[in-house]
Amino acid sequence: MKINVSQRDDVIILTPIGKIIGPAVSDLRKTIDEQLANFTDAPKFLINFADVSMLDSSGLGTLMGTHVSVVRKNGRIAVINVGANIKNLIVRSRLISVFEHFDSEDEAIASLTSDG
Amino acid sequence: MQSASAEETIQRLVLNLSELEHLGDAVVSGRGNFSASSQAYLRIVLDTLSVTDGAILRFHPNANELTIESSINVDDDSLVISVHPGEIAAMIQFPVLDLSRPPLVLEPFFDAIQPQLKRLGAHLWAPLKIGEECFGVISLGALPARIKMASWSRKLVNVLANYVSRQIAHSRALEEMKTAKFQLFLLSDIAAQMGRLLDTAHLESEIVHHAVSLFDARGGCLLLMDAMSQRLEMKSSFVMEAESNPEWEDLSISLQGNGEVHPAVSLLRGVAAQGKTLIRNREKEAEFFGAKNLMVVPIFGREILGVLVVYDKEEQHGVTADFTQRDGILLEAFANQAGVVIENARLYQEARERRRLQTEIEEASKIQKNLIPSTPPEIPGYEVVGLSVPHHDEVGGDYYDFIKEPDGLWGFAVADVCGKGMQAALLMAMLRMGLRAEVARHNDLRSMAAALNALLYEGSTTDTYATLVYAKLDPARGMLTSISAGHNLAMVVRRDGSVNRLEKGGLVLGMYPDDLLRQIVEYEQETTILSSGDTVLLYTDGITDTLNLDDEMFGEARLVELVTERRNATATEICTAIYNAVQSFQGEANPFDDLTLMVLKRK
Repeated sequence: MKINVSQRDDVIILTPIGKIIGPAVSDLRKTIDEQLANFTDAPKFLINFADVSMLDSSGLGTLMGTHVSVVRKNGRIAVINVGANIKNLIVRSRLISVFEHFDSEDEAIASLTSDG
Repeated sequence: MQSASAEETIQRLVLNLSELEHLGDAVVSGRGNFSASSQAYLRIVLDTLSVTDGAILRFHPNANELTIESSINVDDDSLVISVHPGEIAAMIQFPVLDLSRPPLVLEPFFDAIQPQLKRLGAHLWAPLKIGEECFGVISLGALPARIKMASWSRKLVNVLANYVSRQIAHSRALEEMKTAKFQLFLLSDIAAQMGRLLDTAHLESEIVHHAVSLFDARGGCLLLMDAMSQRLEMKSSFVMEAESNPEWEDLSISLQGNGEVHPAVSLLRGVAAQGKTLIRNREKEAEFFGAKNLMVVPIFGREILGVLVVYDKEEQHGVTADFTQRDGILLEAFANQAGVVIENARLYQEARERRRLQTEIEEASKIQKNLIPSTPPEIPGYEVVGLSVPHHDEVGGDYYDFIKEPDGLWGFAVADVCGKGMQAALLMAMLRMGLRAEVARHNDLRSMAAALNALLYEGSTTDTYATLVYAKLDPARGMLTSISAGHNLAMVVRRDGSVNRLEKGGLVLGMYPDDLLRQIVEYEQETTILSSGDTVLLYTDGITDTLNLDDEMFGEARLVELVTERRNATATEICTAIYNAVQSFQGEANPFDDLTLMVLKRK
């Protein structure tokens, strides 16, 4: 798995590519932790799932762990381009209300950069 | 007069040529070398020409210098003449140079070196060359007047110079052959030595040391590819005569990067990306390593493993020599061997890790087997059955349990622990212990779930968690209260074929700290009444997420349809039917996960 990191306004956009499963999960976690370390307050993350073909329970654990870290720093985390299978898992785990979900990057950025 | 002297000279030549032949044989057969024999060559040349003083000057192409290789009747052997490549190129166009009347193009050069020429007592220079390559010059003092006047005198000097040139070429080819032979010997020896090394860190430093010694180089380093991060990481570096490792020992190069970087970094990146050897002599890429000359080769296993750098090959005279194409081929051959041993060492370590994991899995399996109940309870008016099939032979993350609660109540649990192996087995043991303890302590499933979450949060590592569906049955009243902590929803298939999903619940267990959990969402529970003929299904995603060869999911709809059709069968029959249906759906495809199922039926 490869993870592209970019920034728009003050939002860190993470775009993982491939399957977020098993051992690859620690990579995503490492990338996120590196980014998180740059923030003392109110980190804003957007995770783009457009190129993620698979997410397993370990991957979900990483997302939730990230969510905890971000919320602890009074930050926000949003997701876009979540495919049907991944959405299914997120719904089942009752995380649909936890992750802010948007239809496009523009919408997500607009929301994250508002005082919201 | 002239003819007599010519005859005399020819006699000398014939005699001396046979001695030259003899010397040449010695050089070519490896018994001597040019440096040692050059004095003898010079003596033969001077003797043949009846000249009293002279010298053989050797040309050093890197230093652009001529130095004295051997001399007769010259006082100062340490004499050095600087010469430009252009001047050498001009010089070798002339078989013999009369220094009293040098060609126009070389006049400034000879003017500039008048003092050295005087010390050499030089009157004639004959370039030593083969083709366009110059080895040096024979510098001769004054020829005797009678020879000097002869028409063939220059031709004779030229013939002798050509002969000496050829001997130099022979001796050099032989030296190269000997070096190559030695290097090949080293290479096979190195391969044998390295093949025995299985500790990767040790192996990495050995590879660098051997590569450096193969070329008598000043230093070298090894960068290997990290497959996960797609970066070239510095693994080992070595510099002759340096006490500490250089500052770039932590070098880490992203293959994707395209920012402003040192030319050497993009060079290394290029070699890894294109898999082609690069040689840079006296270019700025080498500066990065504090070097003059640099050679970089890719290391291949089944795919690109990394790059190997060697810099500053030393010549005999302490001068840094250019890396040649032949050096490149040799380093490639070495890198091929290195690739094989690196890959072997990795495979060995993977195998060792697998063995370690295997032991852990066996231990964890034992724990897990003890956690899952062997027989379902007898509950009057009900039939209940559980089934759990681990994924392959590994330790599963699934768990189910029947828990006898006070007042004749029964609890049914199906859980899925995230992760595999020992960590999952431990979390599962903790979940089982915690569940049994909290169930006894809480009448309310909501507070039970919150307490269990807090317990697992404290006791588990980051990013590990469990999902759980728990249903509590009051058999006498047919009352079933349920909660789902991030788990697949339980479903009730009624006698009339209608289906209810038991949707109430909350987040997974062990992931969110208690305070944060309450901030996000509180757990909820729900109660339903079971009538005769109603079937309750608790299951893990191993059922619904099973894939077939077309990558289709078994899905909830198939499950509902199957249970609805068989709603009049017994719990055991329904359980078996579901398991068989999932198995036949999966066909030849790989199992997705553990598969766990519990069926409760009111008779």
